[in-house]
Amino acid sequence: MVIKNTNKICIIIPAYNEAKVIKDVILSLKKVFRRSSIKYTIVVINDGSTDNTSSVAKSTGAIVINHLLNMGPGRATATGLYYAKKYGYSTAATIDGDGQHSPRDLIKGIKILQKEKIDLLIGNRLKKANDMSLNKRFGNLILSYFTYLVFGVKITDSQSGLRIYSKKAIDNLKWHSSGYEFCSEMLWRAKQENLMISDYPIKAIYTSYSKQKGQNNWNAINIIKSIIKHRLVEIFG
Amino acid sequence: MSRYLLLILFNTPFALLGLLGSLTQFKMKRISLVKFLFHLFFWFFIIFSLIMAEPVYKSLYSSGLTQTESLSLFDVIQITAIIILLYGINRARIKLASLENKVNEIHQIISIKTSK
Repeated sequence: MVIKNTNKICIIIPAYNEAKVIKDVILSLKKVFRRSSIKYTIVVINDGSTDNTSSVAKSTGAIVINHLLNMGPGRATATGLYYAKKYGYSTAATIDGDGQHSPRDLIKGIKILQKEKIDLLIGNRLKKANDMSLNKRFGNLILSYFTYLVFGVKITDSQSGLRIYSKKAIDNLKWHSSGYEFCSEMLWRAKQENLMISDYPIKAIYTSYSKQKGQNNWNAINIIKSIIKHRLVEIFG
Repeated sequence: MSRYLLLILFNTPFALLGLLGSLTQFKMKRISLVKFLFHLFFWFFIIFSLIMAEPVYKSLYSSGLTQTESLSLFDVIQITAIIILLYGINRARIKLASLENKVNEIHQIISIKTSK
């Protein structure tokens, strides 16, 4: 029998080789959420890591789902949302496993989502982008512009990993991409499903670790190629 | 028999099959209206091109815009083979994409079940 988790938030952390920081990420989430009245479950999607991400995450008491193979962040996020749907969560959220998102921003977003009846809320790192390198800011803006150009979805930070999903979004969102291009494709699918999309400013925490782990601008070219491919397949395929 | 007529006879069935496939997919709600309209345009364009191949060649030849030989039997076979190959490649691509989706779904379900 599947236990329903209505009125509970499913916090999904897709993680690939994040053993160094995953414990801190989970513990800081727990610390901040404990002070709030929000009921939550932390679900780590270990995307076929070759280090001990899985055991470190398990030691914190989080639910850990192990991908047998490394499938990419798009599939890891999809597994997380599938889990949230299966167990009847009313709200879900995804944050990066490298610790670049603040749990306080997450709580703020959950409150906005519930208050304003938004289906998909994106944390916008570019409004408070003081710590973000010019390179990264440029790459993110280009990708957001491309997302708007190809998919017609206007979001300032289309590649942000901090996303909050309503029940409607959990139940209806599906995408095909497995790589980082899923961020843009998800927005497009949300638009197709008539989901209400919005964003809110968040602060990204850049440590030397998260700077190493993040995408570089060369990967943006791959993402642009994939975005165009998905759009063409949708029309011609 | 005219080789241009052969070209039409060999290739039109593929275009009609393609049209029928698109119509079936649309009626079964597997493709959107936009995609169906594009398919419709694509296949009618192919049929139109096949029918117009001879008049276009004759008009270009008479106006001195081309000096190439008229279509040979080998050309007809070659064009037909290319169309069959393209048709096959597209079918394989669709099947591959569908299989990829299924594998992803199976992987998700197995991951969740084995993590319990």
